Amino acid sequence: MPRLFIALASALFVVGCSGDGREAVSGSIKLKGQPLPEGGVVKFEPLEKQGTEGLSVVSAGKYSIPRENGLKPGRYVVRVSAGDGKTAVNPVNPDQPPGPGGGANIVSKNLVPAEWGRNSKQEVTVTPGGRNEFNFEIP
Amino acid sequence: MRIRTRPAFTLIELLVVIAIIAILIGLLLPAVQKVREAAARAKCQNNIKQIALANMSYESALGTFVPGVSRTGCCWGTWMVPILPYMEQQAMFSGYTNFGGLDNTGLRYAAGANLTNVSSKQLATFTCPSDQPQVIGTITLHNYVLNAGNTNFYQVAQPTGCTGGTTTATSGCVSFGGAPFGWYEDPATLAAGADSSPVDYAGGNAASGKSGRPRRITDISDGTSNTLCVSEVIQGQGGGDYRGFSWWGGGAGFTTFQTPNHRSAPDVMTGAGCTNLTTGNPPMPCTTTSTGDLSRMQLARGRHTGGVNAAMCDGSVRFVRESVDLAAWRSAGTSQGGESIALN
Repeated sequence: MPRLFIALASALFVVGCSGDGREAVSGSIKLKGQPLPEGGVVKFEPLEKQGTEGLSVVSAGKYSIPRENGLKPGRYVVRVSAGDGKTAVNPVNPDQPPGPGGGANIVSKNLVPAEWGRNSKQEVTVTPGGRNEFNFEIP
Repeated sequence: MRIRTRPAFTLIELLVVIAIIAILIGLLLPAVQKVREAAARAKCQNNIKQIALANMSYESALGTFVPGVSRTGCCWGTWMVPILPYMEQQAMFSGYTNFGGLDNTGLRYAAGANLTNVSSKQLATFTCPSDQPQVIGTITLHNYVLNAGNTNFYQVAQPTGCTGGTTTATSGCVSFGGAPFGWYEDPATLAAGADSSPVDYAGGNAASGKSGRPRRITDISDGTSNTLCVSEVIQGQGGGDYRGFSWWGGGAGFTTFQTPNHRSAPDVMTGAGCTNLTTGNPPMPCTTTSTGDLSRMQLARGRHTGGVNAAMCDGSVRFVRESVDLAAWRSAGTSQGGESIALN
């Protein structure tokens, strides 16, 4: 009888902790051997209709997506983007009014090659209960 | 000689009583805090309702919703200005000049009389009582933001220039599905390398002021009860954090590109500044770098446990849980997306 009770209790515990099947994901990203420029972004897009998309800002070369905004298990394509905040996609009119902080209102050039951005074929597989730590080295 | 004993509490009894009182306080205080937060949340919902209704009054009077930003984009006023007379702030509205000004030298949102009369004032109706009101310099920050759509403030597909996506796609291209408020949407301006303001503003060319185009109610083909109108953000807490800096275009809107109170997706505060807070309660991640792959936006954030307050364009107010389905949240952000997913 006590054994049954323990089994029931642990089953309840597992159910209570499993959330909605999302997994936390974290890791580090390097671009040309250096940590990804501050404020870059990594995105995980589902390939198997999991319905969850991961998006995280990258700071000091590291990213972390907590379980609340995590990913359901399965295959994902990884897209990375980062800019320097100074180099615009197109030349900017020098007369453009800056924002309130005096910074430039620009859309930065993406420093990450397209094979890791829009044309990315980099895949990861999120596993249930796994560590789900993915580190990327972008050449 | 007999020692007279006075009837009194022993030390133990006294300590027990104190302990009981301490336990009772410990039980009661969290309850009081919770009631306080519930009251703040109700007040916050009421503020959102006021803004949604003021927008409706504006629509009744002038035939369109308020412009999200002025036609000149970032710096000559946002929706916070034209909505003032409909929130019983006629006097303050009269103190604002050069809304949507097309000149290089005229007053901006935070200069001269505009600063004195308007943008240094903290308005209670624009402030959520759950948050701590902040200023940058003497310019006030506020909590409420209007819906700029399901992608970014440029109101184009994300990534910029992609084709063939849908408004709720979680893979590849997310197409722009219309918004009830116009933002930095002029494609010519965007193609010319930046952002918000008219390309030719130095020349005073009125034709180039194309930001913030006001929408008619008939433009909202998804239905006003299915389209988000107002939601909230958390004010940047010092250190030059411009989130909630809503006298300025880049701080006056939100998009539904990611779900509310997202713990790792950043607000993109280009041209200003922000502090990337990935921990804390709630976390407030952000970046100051806008690229074509993730362009300028603020996401909905609130200090209420579990979600944010939001008003639909019919004036109804609801509490949206942060666990809301991404596709449902994005489709509520569009005004012409034609999705059949309901926000619940």
